[in-house]
Amino acid sequence: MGNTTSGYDESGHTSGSSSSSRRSSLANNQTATRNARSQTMNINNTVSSRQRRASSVVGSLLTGTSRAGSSFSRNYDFSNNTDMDTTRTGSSREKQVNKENHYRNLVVKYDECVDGGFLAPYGVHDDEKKLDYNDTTVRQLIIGRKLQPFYLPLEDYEENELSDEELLKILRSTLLHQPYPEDIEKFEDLPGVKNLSKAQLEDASNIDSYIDYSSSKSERKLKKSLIFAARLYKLKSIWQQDENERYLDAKNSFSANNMVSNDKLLLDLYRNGDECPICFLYLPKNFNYSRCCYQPICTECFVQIKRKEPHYQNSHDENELTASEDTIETLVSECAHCPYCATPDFGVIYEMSSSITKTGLGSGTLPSEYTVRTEEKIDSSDSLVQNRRRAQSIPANHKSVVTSDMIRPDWEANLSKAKLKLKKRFAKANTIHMNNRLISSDENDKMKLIEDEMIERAIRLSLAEQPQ
Amino acid sequence: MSGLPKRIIKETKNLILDPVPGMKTDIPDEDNLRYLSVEMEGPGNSPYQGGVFNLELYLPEDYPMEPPKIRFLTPVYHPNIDKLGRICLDVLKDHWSPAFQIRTVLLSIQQLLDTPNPDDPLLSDVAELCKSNNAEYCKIAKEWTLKYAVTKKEV
Repeated sequence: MGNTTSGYDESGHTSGSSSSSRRSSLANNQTATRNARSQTMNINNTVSSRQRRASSVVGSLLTGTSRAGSSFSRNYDFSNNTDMDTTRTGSSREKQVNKENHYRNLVVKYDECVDGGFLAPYGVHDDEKKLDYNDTTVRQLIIGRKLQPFYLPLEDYEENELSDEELLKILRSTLLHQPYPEDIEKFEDLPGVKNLSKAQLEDASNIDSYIDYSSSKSERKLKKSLIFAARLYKLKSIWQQDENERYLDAKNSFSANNMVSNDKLLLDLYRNGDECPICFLYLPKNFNYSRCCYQPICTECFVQIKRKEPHYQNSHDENELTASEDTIETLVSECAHCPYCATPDFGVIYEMSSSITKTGLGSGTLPSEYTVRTEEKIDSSDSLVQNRRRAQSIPANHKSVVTSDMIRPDWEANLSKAKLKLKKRFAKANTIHMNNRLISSDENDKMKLIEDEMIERAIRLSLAEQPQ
Repeated sequence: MSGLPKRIIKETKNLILDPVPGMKTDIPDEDNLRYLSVEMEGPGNSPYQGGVFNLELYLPEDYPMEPPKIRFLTPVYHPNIDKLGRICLDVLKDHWSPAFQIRTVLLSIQQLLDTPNPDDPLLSDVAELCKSNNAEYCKIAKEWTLKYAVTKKEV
């Protein structure tokens, strides 16, 4: 099978781009480390020269800490761990590379086929913000038959209305991904996106040439990230078109040995389908089932369900005015609940349909060579799904359960990020407040006192930013 | 998002073909199928009985992962409905689940008219009255219903 399935490995990674990205992030990291050092020295100088006006000390300290603080952590990271981990976000370039890889993994490829389905979503809920799940984990889980593969959904299905030929015709003509709208409003009139070739779009280094350097620093930064996002959106659509064409070629080649599902497999799957209760689309029946109340859910809907943004406990109208520095620690990240019965720690179990045999990735059979439909005998003795109808729920930590937190493991990091952001905001407010106090007072002693206090706060803040 | 999701088409079709009792759903603008108008009858044995309340409902881009946005257009005197018609109801906020449907939401709102929840109010003065002097609250609610929710010729 090796040749037909090049470009993936068992871990679910799309190979190729990842090794080069590692190199570039490393190079980035070295410059970042250098910057961090020079900034650190700056701070030391500033701290030691207390003679200067206190407000300016604090001003530079604060801007210094916010920048140097994050470089500190990178510095630390670099010395300990040269293998870049996505949990620690570093330079913006590194973030971009991670994002680009994520988007590449969201492209549906016909030869990443598992039991007639795929490793990336069709685009039923195609909001990039909500597809922020860990793609590597999800791909691994699908290949490991722990989650239903992403199947191409059918809009309508009436068992008796379609002949086998008609059903196959619909399935064969369905694209791998829902078509992308050409222009979307938020990217309108953005320079550096339209009329560019794929190669130009993929080269992030030329973004700078589209930036108006007379604008302010924050404007430039915003524009840059917007152009990057717009390009990524366009690229994803181009990558998907390329894949659609590859798929078309493979379908038309009729060389029997490839990763295109044969008629028998498609019929076995789609003649045994049902509607997902969330998206109302028709899919093969081997759904994921909620661990708590045994309700079906397709993977496309499952990956949409996630924790809420960090928020205050018991605060019912998100009134941030009541927030203070002391309440930051009460910020919580609430776990995902089952959409059907509201049980916390939402998780699903998946068992392959007993009516088809394994094909594609993680099996010994090509989807084009699928022949057997196993006998209808359902051996329910060791089947979790079959056994637990109306029985009690399966615990979230059971080895067969895939929880919402498993596919978004970064929730803890996000929570601390949200806390840190708030801390920074309070620190800034404090600085402004103290600056005001400073201006109204003439006493030197008092100034000195406040100055010390401010420096102490700034240092505390910079310490808080370092990894625990 | 390209096109209208299957689910929205199915749900609205069902709502129009097989309406919730006491409710009429319509699509006022054929160009915007995410925007629905609803006429809701006030529940029997409540101060809203006899009234027909207009609501507008919008299905956001993220629906059903995000709840529908819905508000009363007809003024309602109710502790959980404010002057702009905004509704304070858990299923429209943090207790929303993608397994709910427009139908579920409409029924919940009708239920809310019948059983106000003054312990989690949007308007504290109405909630106060609702708890301390329920008869007076019912009286005002009935007046509002007559004034705003009953069309003249029906009186």
